[in-house]
Amino acid sequence: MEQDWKDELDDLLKESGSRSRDTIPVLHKVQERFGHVPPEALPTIARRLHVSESELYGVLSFYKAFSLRPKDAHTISVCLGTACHVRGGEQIIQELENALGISAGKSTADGLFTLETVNCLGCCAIGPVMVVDGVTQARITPQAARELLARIRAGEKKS
Amino acid sequence: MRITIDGRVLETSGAPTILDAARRLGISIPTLCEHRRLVPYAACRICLVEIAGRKLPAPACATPVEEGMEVITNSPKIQALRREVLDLILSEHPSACLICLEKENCEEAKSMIRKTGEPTGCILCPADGRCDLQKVVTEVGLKGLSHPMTYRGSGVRRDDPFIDRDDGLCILCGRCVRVCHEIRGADAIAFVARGSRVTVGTSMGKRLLDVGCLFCGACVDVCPTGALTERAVRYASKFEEQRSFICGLCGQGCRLGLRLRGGRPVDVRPEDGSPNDGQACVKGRFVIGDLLGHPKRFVRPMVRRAGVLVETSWEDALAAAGRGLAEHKGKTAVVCSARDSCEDLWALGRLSRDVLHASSVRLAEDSAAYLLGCPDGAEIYAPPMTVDELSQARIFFIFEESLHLTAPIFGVAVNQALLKGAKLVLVGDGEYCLDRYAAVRVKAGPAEAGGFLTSLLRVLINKNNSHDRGRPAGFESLRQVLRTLPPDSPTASVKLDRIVGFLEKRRPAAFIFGPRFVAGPWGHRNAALLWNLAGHTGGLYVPVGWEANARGAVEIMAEINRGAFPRSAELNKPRALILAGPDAAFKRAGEEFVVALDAFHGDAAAQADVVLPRTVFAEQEGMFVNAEGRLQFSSAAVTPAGEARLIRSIAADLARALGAGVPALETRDAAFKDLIGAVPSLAEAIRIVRGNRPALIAGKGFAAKGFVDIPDLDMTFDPAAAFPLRDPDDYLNFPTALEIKSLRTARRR
Amino acid sequence: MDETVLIRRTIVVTAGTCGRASGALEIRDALRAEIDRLGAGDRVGLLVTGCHGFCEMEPSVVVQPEGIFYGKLKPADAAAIVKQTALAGKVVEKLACKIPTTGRVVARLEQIPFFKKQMRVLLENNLRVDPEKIEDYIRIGGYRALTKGLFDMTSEGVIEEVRRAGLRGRGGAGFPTAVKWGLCRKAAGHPKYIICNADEGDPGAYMDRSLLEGNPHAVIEGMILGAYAMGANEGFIYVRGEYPLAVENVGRAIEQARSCGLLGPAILGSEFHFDLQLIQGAGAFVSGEETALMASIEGRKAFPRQRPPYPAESGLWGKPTNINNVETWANVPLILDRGSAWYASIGTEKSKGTKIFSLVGRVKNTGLVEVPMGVTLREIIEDIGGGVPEGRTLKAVQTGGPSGGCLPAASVDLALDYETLAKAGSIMGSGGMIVLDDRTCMVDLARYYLHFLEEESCGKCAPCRVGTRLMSELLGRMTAGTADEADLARLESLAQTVKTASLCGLGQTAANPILSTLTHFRSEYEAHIREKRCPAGVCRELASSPDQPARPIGRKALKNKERGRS
Repeated sequence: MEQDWKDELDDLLKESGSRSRDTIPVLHKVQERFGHVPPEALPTIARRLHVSESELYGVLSFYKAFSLRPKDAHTISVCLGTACHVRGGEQIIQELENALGISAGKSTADGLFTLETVNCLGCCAIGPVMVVDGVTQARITPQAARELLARIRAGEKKS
Repeated sequence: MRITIDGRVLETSGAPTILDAARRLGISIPTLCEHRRLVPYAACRICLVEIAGRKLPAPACATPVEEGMEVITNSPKIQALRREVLDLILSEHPSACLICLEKENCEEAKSMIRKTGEPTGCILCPADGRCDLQKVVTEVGLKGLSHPMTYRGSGVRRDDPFIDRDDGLCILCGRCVRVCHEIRGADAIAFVARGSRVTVGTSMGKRLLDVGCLFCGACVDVCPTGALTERAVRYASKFEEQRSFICGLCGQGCRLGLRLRGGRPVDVRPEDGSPNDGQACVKGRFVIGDLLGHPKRFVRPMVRRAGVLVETSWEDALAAAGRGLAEHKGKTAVVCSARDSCEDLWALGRLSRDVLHASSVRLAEDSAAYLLGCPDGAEIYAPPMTVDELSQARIFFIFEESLHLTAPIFGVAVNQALLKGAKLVLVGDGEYCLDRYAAVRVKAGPAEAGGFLTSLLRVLINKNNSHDRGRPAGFESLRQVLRTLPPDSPTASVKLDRIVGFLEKRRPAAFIFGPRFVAGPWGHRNAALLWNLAGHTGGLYVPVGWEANARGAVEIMAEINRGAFPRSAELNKPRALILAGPDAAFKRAGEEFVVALDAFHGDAAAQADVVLPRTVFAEQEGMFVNAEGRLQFSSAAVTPAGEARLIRSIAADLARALGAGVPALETRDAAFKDLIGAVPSLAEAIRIVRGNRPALIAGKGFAAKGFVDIPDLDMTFDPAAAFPLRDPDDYLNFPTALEIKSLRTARRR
Repeated sequence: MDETVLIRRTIVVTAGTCGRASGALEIRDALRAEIDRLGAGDRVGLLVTGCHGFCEMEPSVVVQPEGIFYGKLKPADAAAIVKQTALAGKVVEKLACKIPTTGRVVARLEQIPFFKKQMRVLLENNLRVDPEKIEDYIRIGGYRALTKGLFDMTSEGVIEEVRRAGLRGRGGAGFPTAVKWGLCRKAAGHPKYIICNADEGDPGAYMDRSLLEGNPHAVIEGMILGAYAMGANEGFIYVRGEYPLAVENVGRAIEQARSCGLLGPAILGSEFHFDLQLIQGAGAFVSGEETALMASIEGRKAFPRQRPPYPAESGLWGKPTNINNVETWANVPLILDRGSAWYASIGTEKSKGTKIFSLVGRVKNTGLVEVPMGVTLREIIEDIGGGVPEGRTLKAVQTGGPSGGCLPAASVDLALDYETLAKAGSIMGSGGMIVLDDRTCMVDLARYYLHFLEEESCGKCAPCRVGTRLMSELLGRMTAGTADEADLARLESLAQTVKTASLCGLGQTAANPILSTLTHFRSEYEAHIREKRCPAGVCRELASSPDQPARPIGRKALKNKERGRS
């Protein structure tokens, strides 16, 4: 199992750029492929990009798009842009925090949900907006948010 | 260009920053993140000044002057702004002492403070009294704090050798990260996370050991607070004096300052000026104190009686040595070390040649000779080259050298050139810390590399663009030879076209190599190939001598031996030996009489009949020629330990003990005069130094010498007879990186 | 013989990110199914485009060529649209817009109040092209300007044309574009680079997203022209990672342009070579700052650096670099195609051309609004936007994102151009325009912005790093009712320090939300502090007013729980 992901990583890196300027595109690819950037992969990636491991970590830790821990099954990103805020985005966040029992930026203990906030998805006219598993949902109300959680939970139970 | 600062006018050319200009006028502007060797960072915002016509104040450290600029550095508005910025910085830094009500009575109240693990204020901080932040607070006149305090730290990190890290004290000036990147090239630390969570750290919070730190100490030296400190002297009292000396642990010849208290070493700081300009390496920076006072050091003479070495007086030991050596005049071999000063080597040389009529006098570090271009044994060449010149090269070829181990200051020059866009071709079988910068990596050992070099030379010669106008001497014969010479089988991954392409656009090149590349039957051939390549491309031929005085030693030995260098260990079965240099290959066969001039218990002392304690560097004054070819005078920074004596004095004593005192050796001045009377190149260099210019040993350059023939592999090379290459960290007979535990850890052994 | 001319109509489905989030793809599928069911494929075309801008009404369609607009659709509406409008040319009244006061049906785009006062020179193309097909762009005249510039004009000539047009940077600063280009062109150094700053981070602004999703080739064409003008051979489009559809569409557009010989060596057979690389951002607002953006492209952290030197002199890898905003680049082909005289005839004396604003917040018609410079705020909010809904009163308009300021309702007759806005204490910014009514608490708004800036501060300089956190905390205390007079004084003092001493634009403008709300709504701050009262009824911990909706206190309790306090 362990060797598999190492091979996958090597294949991915072989296709990628190998200069320091390719750092962010490569991290994107790794994040996309593995759902996160595995800490064990850092020395390999650094070598490929010809940068030091600390430099690479510095870049990785700066940008919100990259995470060192795997995300959970379902990621909910609630937009906290101004327009969404003005239209009640805070309520949505609170509703979800209550329902899930966690605060934004954390994951549930059962590993089912990760709740995040995002600073403006650019869907300002149809806010409040949240992205669930990559799908943008518009004009969310607290009720709709609750129902969505219930649907996901029911779906998980079935499978 | 004419500018005005605080009403005072300055005429200047070029584009200095406002800070530079102000300093020239003697105007002081407080700074925190600025450092003379680092690119302006403008993050601390303390040096903000007003510029007429501009809405916002600008940082003096990063703003270039313009014609007619009017700058105010100290208006009430600026003063208030500085206090506010400092106030914000201090809200994230333990500042209890600034606002303590007992400030006036601190000296008395102090005894009641319990020592805490982490500083809450200046009094508990290792940098108290030498902290730049304290100085700025005083200069700016901040008396209190307006904001609630936030402690950003995560405890003191003590899990690395030499360096303690306390990010609770860090003000995020970035000097450490910048020096590690811009000057040293290790990139071991970086800014991590962002916003209020920014810290200076390593990948995943690993130890410095695990992220490629070289422990050179540069970060500790530039840290303005106590965030980065040298653990051993964390709470040491202030030193009383600082004495300059030249480090003897490798061939760079760094100028260091030994700080003393009560005449004993406390710690070391690198000094400004050539060749190291404020930089050092882990050895020079951190282990000199341990070395000087190591338990394995012996400081009293010893004589072997009934099979056991027994401490005795100098009189007794010298008499014993004299008796033993007198029996074997003409059949004595002498081994010297290229780590010793010119005066010391000259004294040993005179003793050996003129008193003992020794059968051979040679350097333990045999390869030194190969390095300096003596394949044909006739003369020394290898023109001198400064670190600054090296940093101007546009393409580097490095052969088998880990520069951070053997030539750290050359490593700094290479790093700076690489940051400006120079290319690196790294040749060698091992792993090197510069690996990640290599544009072309040739995995070949010194034997196979010859094939690669021959192919490269052949391609370049055939392109017929010789550097000099008109063909230099030897060009045609070289071209003929290259046509007929079959290259050794090149390694698979040689990318010759890329390299040739680089060479076309990037000049000058620098060819950097060390003993590893020439210690073997391929030695002469490799050196010749590099000489020809450097000459043809108008590049720098950079042999890296590992020893503090490799160059001076070769010159002196040449004079002593009148140029007849032995090509292998022709010991001719000596009946007596003087070991003044590390000779691990030596095994007593039986009846020889051995006198060891040494400082540490090791192989030499273990086999000797008489052991005479000698001084180590920092305890001795003398002249050294470093790997640049630069002549430097070192003073004694500390009195010799115990009864240790200078080699020069011991040589004079031995001569007397043999009944043939050499007047020239009795005093330093006499020895010096004698030396420069005999070695013209040194005399010339000294003349220049006295004229207050830096002096480099005048070596014959390519213009004079031309191309050299490329000899075949030396089939007479006898590895058993040749002195083996020691570990670059060894000092004389002392394996520093094994005996000093923290250095062993830092070297990851 | 039947002499009826068969009109081929096209149903345009606007499917930008907003459209898709509202169900546009389902509408498309329903329409497709209906067309197929009726076997009407030869008479009814289906065009899927990017965002049109009338976002309030998504999902929406426009039936061309009459321009009949239907909004807030459901899949079940597909049948009526195909049968009655696309085939028979009749309006389906229940799907069309109505004038709010009279209830009169307005089916055609140009009659709808939202569009009447707009001048959609940029956005109209979002309705005419499928962003996935370069042929669509070429068909409507795309790359014609490039041909003109490349073959009929010199590089200097292109800059001169842009100068005559009076184009100013649309990213916020409003710097004259031709001057910027001239500096880069004159700078010593090679190679030169150009960059499109598509890191539209201002919350509430999404016009760049719309342009990139809907008509990426306009931006590409503009950049090729700019590269030709300045002598650059390599360019970058840096798109926020939070815009996946834009990333996809721009990436595809670049590849298509390459395969048509519009990018790469010997463009259109000329001697000019230029190529573009798409870089995806990674979630940092500060990477929209010029020098931080360049650091990001170089593969480093997005730490801004001190200027001078300016990018035109020393930018990417120390080489001369020109950075412009998406909308700026998109204007360039327009200028070259229709001429600088035409462009300069739009707008005011000092601010030429159109500007796209994202009109969002408490306004009836939210969406993207493209108007000539000089239009007033009132015209946008009332005539185009339809006014504040639910009978509430206009309180203020936030322009320019977190770097901008609030314009109180009293300044509603302000003309929108660079100078006027600056004089009023705000900035044009990238064009975000958030309408606020009497249910908005200005202190809460300032707190929101400062919290955002605190999160997004890069951390390099102390004034911003520490200052945004402290200001955010102070505002938090004000909205929680635990602040006092001294806190207000501290807030004002901090705001000045952060504004004066910060290294980059983020810090230097971080105080603007506070300073502008303090200027116009000081009484609200005072009420929060002295009376522990929130006049707008937003701040929960303060005295409530009758008509605030119920709001769970959960969040705070959760946070306390996590910290181990009861």
